[in-house]
Amino acid sequence: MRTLTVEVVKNYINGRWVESKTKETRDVFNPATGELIAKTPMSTAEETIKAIEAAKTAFRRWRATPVFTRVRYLNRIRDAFEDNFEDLCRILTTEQGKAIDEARGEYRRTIENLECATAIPSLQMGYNTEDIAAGIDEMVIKQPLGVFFCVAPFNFPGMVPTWFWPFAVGVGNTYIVKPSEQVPLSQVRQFEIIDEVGLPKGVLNMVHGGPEAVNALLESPDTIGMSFVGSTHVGKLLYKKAGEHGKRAQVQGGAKNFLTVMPDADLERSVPAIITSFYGCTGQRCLAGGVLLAVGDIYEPLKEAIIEASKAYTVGNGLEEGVQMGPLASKRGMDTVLSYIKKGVDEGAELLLDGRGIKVEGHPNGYFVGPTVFDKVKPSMAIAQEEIFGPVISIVHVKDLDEAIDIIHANRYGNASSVFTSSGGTAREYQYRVKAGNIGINIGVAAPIATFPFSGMKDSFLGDLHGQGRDAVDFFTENKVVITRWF
Amino acid sequence: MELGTFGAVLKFAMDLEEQAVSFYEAAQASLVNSKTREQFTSLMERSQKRLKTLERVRRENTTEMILEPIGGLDQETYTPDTDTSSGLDEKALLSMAISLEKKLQNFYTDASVKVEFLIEAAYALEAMAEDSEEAVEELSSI
Repeated sequence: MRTLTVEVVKNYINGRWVESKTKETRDVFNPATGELIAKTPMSTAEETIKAIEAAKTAFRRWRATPVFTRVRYLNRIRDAFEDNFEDLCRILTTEQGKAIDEARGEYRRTIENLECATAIPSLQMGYNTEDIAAGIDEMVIKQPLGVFFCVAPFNFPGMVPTWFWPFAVGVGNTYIVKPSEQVPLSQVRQFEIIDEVGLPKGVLNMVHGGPEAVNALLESPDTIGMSFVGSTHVGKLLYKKAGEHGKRAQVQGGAKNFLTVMPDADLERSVPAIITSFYGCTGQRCLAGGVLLAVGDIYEPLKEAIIEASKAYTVGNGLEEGVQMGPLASKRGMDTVLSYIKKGVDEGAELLLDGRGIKVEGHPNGYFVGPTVFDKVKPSMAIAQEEIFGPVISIVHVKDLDEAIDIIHANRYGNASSVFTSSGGTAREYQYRVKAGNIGINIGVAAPIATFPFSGMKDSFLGDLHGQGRDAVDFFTENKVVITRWF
Repeated sequence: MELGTFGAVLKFAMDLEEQAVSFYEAAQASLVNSKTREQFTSLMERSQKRLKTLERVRRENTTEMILEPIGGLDQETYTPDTDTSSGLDEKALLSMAISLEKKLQNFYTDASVKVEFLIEAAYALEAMAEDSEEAVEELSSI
């Protein structure tokens, strides 16, 4: 692994590493140790516009580059990511905190997104009909549009940009990645690799920063659309602004995912999936379990099994092989989780397992919170309503499936939901009725693979076309209709 | 120590193979031309190849969706003794090699069941268990 030195990371504009002129920076910490490892520049509007101009200029040639040539670049980037796999994973864990296996999982999906995008010569094909009238044919061409950009989150800093840019670039657009200012190093390393691969200048750019950079991207007449992953609050503001400026937008927001366990569930096989859903990535997934709905008689045995499994979960520095749960990604994130635990206690939920004050040997300054389990949670409580983004299980005892679905539907979010059952009928009813974009049947983390859209409903998603797969190809292209008659 | 994650299982497997490489390298160097030496060289090369396979399996198969905890694999159960510092003779080295291969066989057999949710990983570990079983037979026949 490379040594990470405390430096202000650079932007990557028009095929060159460029130092930002801003004086304003954000500190980047290793969440396992609290050590300062880098600084993120809050790039100015002027610098951001330079990236837009570079991408706009590059678009003219890039869109005319043969499609197989375009995807060969993606193939080369894919291969280079494989060659640098462990390095990328260790940088990700160092800046984000997640367990090294989770980092490997994230980079596997990153590479799968690139692999999926190499199918663009097929995915981008239009369609046609002969003789729509005498001697007249009609066709649809899926054309690239110009400059797109993404505003990436802190929980999957390696993977999320690849929900978008390989598809955008593959179909002939040019692109700007705005990494999370909290965790910029994964993208920096990716761009170093991309730079070595030699993608034509301006096709893919990176601008670090905050609101000023994002506003410049949204307000520019030269950008076409935005992909955002982050909180619903910020997402709604950006979605509105994108609309005002006539941009395409896909906004993946917050979540509160309900896991329903039916009385006929196979507990032995379900519990590992359930606790991985709640504790995986330290609960900082938009697909993480948020509330555990125990239906009928399963309640007591489920509760006991969850407590036992939670106590056995190993917490530590994610870089250590065998650690199952790393720290929260930031001190702020940790403080938020701690405040929710306090709120749960204050609201009268029963704290069965308290993750506060956990000591991780050799890491006194890490942002650790241990597995936490609340029982006797009421649907009206904040810990059942709001996204905690931490390793907290809130158990709600319900009498039947109808009550479970009523609780799910009363929540503002609809990102994911899972049911654990041995009944095909119940499973079918669940997927049919529950208003959530990603449904798991005996799956704790219903994460769509690269060929499927990363879905989401209600306040968890704004827009119509999602990231990944065919949706991404549609988002990044315009269906141009051509009607032809030759004399 | 319990091997509680897919990464921990694969890391332990890689450590075992590195241990095997070191053992066979030292053992074959201490032997004059013989069938045992040839066999040890072959097994050293096999373990070197296995290291690459395990790295690839770990890289390509860590699927985040099903990274569930693994239970019931205790590292100590499968740790072999490969200390050759006391200058062992050919018979003792052979006996140590057979013991090493049996440990490898047992570990890969048990681990392949634990990671069966990752089919390619399970398949690779099963194949390694079978190879070690064959190695035990070949070493025993010398």
